[in-house]
Amino acid sequence: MIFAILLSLSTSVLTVNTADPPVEEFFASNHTNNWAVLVDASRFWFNYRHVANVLSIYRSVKRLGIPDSHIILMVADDMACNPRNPRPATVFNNANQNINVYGDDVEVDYRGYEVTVENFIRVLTGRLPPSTPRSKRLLSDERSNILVYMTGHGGDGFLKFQDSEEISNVELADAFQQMWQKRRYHEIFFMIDTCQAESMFQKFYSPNILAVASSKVGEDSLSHHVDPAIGVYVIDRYTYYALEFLENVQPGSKKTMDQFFKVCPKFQCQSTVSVRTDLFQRDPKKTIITDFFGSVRNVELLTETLNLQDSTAEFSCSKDKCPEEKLQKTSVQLLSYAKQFPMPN
Amino acid sequence: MGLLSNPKQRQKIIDAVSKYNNKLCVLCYVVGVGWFLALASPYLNAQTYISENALLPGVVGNEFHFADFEVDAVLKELEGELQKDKGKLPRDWLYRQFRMIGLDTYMQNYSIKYPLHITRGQTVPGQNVYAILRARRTASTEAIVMSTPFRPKSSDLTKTTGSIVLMLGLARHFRKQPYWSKDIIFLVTDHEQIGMQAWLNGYHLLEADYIKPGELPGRSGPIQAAINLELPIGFLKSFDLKIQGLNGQLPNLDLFNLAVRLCKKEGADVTLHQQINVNGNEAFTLDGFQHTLKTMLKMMWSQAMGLPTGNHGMFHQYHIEALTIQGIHKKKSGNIQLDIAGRIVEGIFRSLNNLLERFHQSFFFYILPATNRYVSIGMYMPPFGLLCAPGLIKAIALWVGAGKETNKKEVKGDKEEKTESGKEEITSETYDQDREKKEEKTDHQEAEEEINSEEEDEEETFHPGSGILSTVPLLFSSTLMGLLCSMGPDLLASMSGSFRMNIEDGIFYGFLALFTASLIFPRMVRRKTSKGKKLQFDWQLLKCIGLIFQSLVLFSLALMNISLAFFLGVVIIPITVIVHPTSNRLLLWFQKLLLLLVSPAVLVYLTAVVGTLQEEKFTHLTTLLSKSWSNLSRGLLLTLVDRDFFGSWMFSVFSFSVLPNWLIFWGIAFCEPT
Repeated sequence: MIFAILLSLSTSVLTVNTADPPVEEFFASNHTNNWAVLVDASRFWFNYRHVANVLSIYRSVKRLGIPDSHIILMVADDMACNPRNPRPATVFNNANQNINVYGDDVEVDYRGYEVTVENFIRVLTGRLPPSTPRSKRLLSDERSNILVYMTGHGGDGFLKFQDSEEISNVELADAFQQMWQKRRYHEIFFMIDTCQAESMFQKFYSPNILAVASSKVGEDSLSHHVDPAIGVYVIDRYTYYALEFLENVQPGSKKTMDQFFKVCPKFQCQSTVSVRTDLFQRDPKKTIITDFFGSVRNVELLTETLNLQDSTAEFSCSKDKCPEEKLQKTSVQLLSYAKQFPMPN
Repeated sequence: MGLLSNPKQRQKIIDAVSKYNNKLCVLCYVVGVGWFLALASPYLNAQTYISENALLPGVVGNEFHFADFEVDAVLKELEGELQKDKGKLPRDWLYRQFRMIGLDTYMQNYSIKYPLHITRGQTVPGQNVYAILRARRTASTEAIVMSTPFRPKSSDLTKTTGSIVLMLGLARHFRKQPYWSKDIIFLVTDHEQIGMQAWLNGYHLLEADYIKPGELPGRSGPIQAAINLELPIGFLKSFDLKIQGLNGQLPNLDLFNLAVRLCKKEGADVTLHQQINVNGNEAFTLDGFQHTLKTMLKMMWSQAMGLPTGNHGMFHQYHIEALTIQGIHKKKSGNIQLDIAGRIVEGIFRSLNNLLERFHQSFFFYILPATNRYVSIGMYMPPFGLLCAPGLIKAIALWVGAGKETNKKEVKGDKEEKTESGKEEITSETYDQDREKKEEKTDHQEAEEEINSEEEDEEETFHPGSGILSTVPLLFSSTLMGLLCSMGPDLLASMSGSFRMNIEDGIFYGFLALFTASLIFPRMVRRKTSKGKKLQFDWQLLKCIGLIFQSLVLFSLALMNISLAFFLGVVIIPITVIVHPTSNRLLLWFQKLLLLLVSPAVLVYLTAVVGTLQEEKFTHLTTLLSKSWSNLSRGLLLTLVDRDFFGSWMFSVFSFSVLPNWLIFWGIAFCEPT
C-alpha cells in the first residue's frame, strides 16, 4: 500500500495520471530535474554589479528549490574580499543593503581565474578532466531543464570573459548543440544581461531553447543604481527588474515564462528586452516559470489507494525468468523519448 | 598611380612647391597660427570625459567632516609652533600629531649642495615629515601620496597652514576606514620643490649630485598618483588646479578631470590659471572665445616655461600622475569651508583607491582651454605641422630650385647660342641685361656642378664659397658657441669669485658677453682670402640646412612640450624663412634687426617681461623693463639651478639648439648675395 507517491522520478508513473488535466499541465514539461549554470564573466571592482547580478539570481533559484549540487556558479572576481569593499565579506544588490547576497551558504564552483571560456564550455558539454569533483560538473541528462544565466561585458556577437578572452555567439550555439547531441538537456532557458545581449542567442540552432536577453543588438544594457556607501553600481537594470519579478514567485507559483518576458519594459530598462521562442516547442504562455527557476518536485496527497506496477522489478528480473512480452513493452516505452534524437544506425 | 611614386607627378609637385613657395609659406603660416589659436573655440575642441572605468568619480558618497577633530585648537597649536621657530618646519610637532593618529611616521633629513658655488660649497639642511597609512587588507604594494609644502610665515606664496590642518583631519578620518587598497602617504615637505625632489629621490633610492636625499626610514609600494594641497586657512572662494610639471610634462588628463568632477560635485568653483569657465552657450560667442583663448594661452605659456607650477611637478618625471589643488582665498566672497575641501580630496582619494592600473587611458599630451574642454595631441598637431611647414617648404624650394636653374640654363644656353647669331636686332640694353643674367647663371651653374662633383668625389679640390664643406666652419662655430653657452655657467661661477662679483651678476654678465661675442662671430669666421666684408658661403645650402635643423628641433620639442615649440615656432619661423643675403642695405639692416629681435637673448628678455607683467601691473614702461631686467638675471640663475637640481632641460635646449640655430641664420645675413 502506498499512501503518498513521489511523482517525478519515473515515466511509468506519469502514464498513470495522464487522464487528469491539471496534472497533465503540470507535467507538460517532461523534465525531472533542474540545473542552473550561473556565470559572471567580468572581474574588477568597478564590475561589482555583475557579481551582484549573478549572486542575486543564484539566491533566487536556490530559494525556489534548486540545490547547490545542481547549481554551477561561476564568479570571476571576489568582491566580498576586495580590499576596496567598505562592507567586507558581503555583496549587496541594493543600496538599502537589505539582503547580503553573499550570505553564509554560497557555494562558488568556479572562481577568479578559473572562470574561462574553456571551463565554461567544458562544464556545458561535460568534457571535464576525470579528476573534476562532482560539484564542479553539470551532471544533467536528457530530462534536465537547465537555466543558463550570463552577465558581463558584451558586444555584438561576444561576451567578454575576465579581461583576456571572449566567448562568441557561434561557440555558445555549438556548445548547446553538443549538449543536445550528448543528451545533456531537455530544455534550456538562456538568460543574459549584457550590452547587445540579443546577439548572443541569434546563432542558436538546437531545439528546446528559450532565450531572453536584456538588450537588442546596438543597445547598451545599463546599470540600475549606485550604492553611495559602497561606491559602485550595485546591479544592472534588467536583472534588477527580473529579480523583482522572481521575488514574488513561490515554488508552487503558476506564473508563466510569458509573464517573465514582459519584465523590464523599455521605460524601465532603457534597453529593449528581446526574446527568442522559435526553438522552443512549447508555448511560453503555458510554460511555468518554475520549470527553469526552481526544482519543483510535485508532491500531491491522494486519498485513494493506487496500485502501481513495480517498474523496477522488470529490470531486476533475469532474462530467463522475465516474461518476454513485458520486456519488449518496457523497451519500447524507454525509447519513446529518445526517438527524437538523431541517432546513428 | 601614386602621386609620389610617379616621377612625373612628383616632378610636378616639386615644380609647384618651388614655384609658389613664397605664397605657400605665407599661407601655411597664417593658416597654421590661425587654426592653432582657433582650437580654443568649442567648435574645434572637445568635452572632457573620464576614460578610466575604474575611477568611478563621484559615485561614492563623501563622508568627511572634522567631527571630533578640533580644527581651531590644532590651528592654534600650529600657529604657535610657527611663531616659535620662524622659517623652520615644525617637524616635531607634526611628527607627534601623525603619531597620535596612529600612523607610521618618519622624518627625512636631506642636505642641499648648491651648484655654481652659490653657497661656497656649504650644504643646507632640510627636513621632510611623512606618515604612511598602511592599507588594512592588502600588502603595501601600491601607494598614493597626499602632500603639502610647508611655507614659513615669511614666504610670499599662498600659505599652506590650511592644508596641513586638513591633512591631519583627513589622516584621522582615513585611518578609520576599512576600504583602502593602497597605502596613503601623507607628506609635508620643506623648501618647496627641493624638499619634494629630495623625498622622491630618497623614495626611489636615487642618488643625486646636489640634493642628497639621505635615507628614508620607511617606504611603501610604487606611487600611483599624488595630490598636492596648497590651502590657506579660512574661507575659500574657489579651487585652482595646477598641472604643469617640470619640462612641461602634464599629468594624465583623467586625473585632472577627476579633480574637476569632484570639485563640481561638492559645488565648489574650479579654475585653471584662475580663469573660471564660461557658461555653456556663452562659449560659442566671440567673448566666450576670447576668454577661452586667454585661458589656453595662459596654460600654454606656463607650460612653455618648463617650470613646475607646484610641488606636483616633481612627480611627473617618475611617471607619477600628480596635480596641485590651490585654494583661492578671498576675504569677502569666500564661502567654501575647509571640510568641503576635505570632501573633495576624500573623493579624489577614493577614486584613486579604485585604480587597478597606472593612469594610462586618457591623454598625456593636451592643451586645456577650460576645465571642461580639452585639445588633444591629435587636434593640435595638424595646425602645428602647418605652422612649421614654411621652414620645410622653403628648404625644399632652395634645394631643388638651384638644381633646376642649372638644368634650365643648359637648355636656355643652347637656344641663346642659336638666337644670338640670328637676331642682330636685339637692342644693346636688353642684350646687356641678358648678358648679366647669363653670367650670374653661369656662376651658379659652376657652383652647382661643384657641389655635385664634391658629393661624388670628396678628394676634389676645395673651392671657397660653395658646397657643403664651405658651410662647415659656420656650422662648427655656431655649435661651438652652443657648447660654450652650455659649459659657461660653471666656468663663470668659479671666476666671478675672484672678480668679487656675486654669482648672479657674474653669470648674467658673462652670458651677455658671450652673446655679444656671438653677434660678431660672422666676422671671426670670415675667410682671410675673401676680398669684401661679406662672408662667402653657399648661403642657399646653409639656409637649407638651417631650416631643416630648425624644423627638426621644433618638431621634437613639440612631442615633449608643445607650448614651447608653438611659441618658439610662431616667433622664429617667419623671420628665419625670410632671411637672405641682399645687396640692398636698408633691407639688410631690417633683416638684421628682425633677427636680433628673435635672438635667444631678446626672446629670454621678452619672456621675462611677460612674466613680470603677469605678476603685477605696471603703469610705467621703464619700471616694467627695469624690473624685467632684474628678473631676467635671477631667472637665468634659477634656470641653471633647476638644471642641476631637477634635470630641467630648458637651458640645454637653448644652448644646444636655439642658439646655434639662430647663429646659422645670423650668419646668412652676412653672406655674399649670389
